Amino acid sequence: MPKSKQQRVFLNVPYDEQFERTYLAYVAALSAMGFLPRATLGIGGNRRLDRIASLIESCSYSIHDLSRIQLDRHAPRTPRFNMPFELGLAVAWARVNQHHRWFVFESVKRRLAKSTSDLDGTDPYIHNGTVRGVMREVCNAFVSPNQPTVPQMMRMYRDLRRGVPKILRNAGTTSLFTARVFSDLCLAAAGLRRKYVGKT
Amino acid sequence: MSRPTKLEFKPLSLEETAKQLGIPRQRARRILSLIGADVVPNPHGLRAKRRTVRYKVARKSARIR
Repeated sequence: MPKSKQQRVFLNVPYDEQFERTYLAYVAALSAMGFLPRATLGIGGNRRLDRIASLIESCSYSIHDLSRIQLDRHAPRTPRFNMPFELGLAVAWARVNQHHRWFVFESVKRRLAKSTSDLDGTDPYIHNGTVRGVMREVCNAFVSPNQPTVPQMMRMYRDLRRGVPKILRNAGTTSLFTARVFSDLCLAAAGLRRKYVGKT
Repeated sequence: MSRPTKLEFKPLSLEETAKQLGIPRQRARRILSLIGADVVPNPHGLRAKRRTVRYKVARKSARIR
């Protein structure tokens, strides 16, 4: 397996304002571990599905957050199917490629058994919808001898969050969920890793 | 799945991260400066990294003092 692939994590999360804190927490936590988060932001067009599949295939790990399963506010009210769908793609890919590992994250205990009973026997990582919970569960999912501590990760998160308005202004947007902002956030988080965790 | 995975890789360096994200060096410097990440840890705490805006500002303010 190429080295660069080993360090990539496919991040499958909802892109909405209410999820911003959790989204930033994932970026900070994965960067603190030394990973490069990858997401479907900026992928569009007719061949979107193919590109999502190739993105999953280019990563060694994938994190699927199924905590936002409720109906949206706007008519017609629909649940979000993208996250479970992409989880399905990752599971299928992991069956073909033994090196790919996938993880399910949830905010509520035992809800996964109700929402996606096909995953019975899979232990989801419950983050309780909190930033600290995301940090804790990412540490539980990936075991490393030189793991950063949760307080270090929290420091990274706070600095990252503080820098968000500047990053948005720099990118000329108001949304965190654009390709440019995502890559800027990943780089900023990697820089904060060097500042607070060191070693790189 | 969802069981702890032992990591067997070297954490990605900052330079490699920028490369993989396709961010040019100049833009990378600007982002790191924006976020206050252009400092390096040393035994005396955090120090501004050389050849960064933060470093120059720190030197200048030290001269004024």
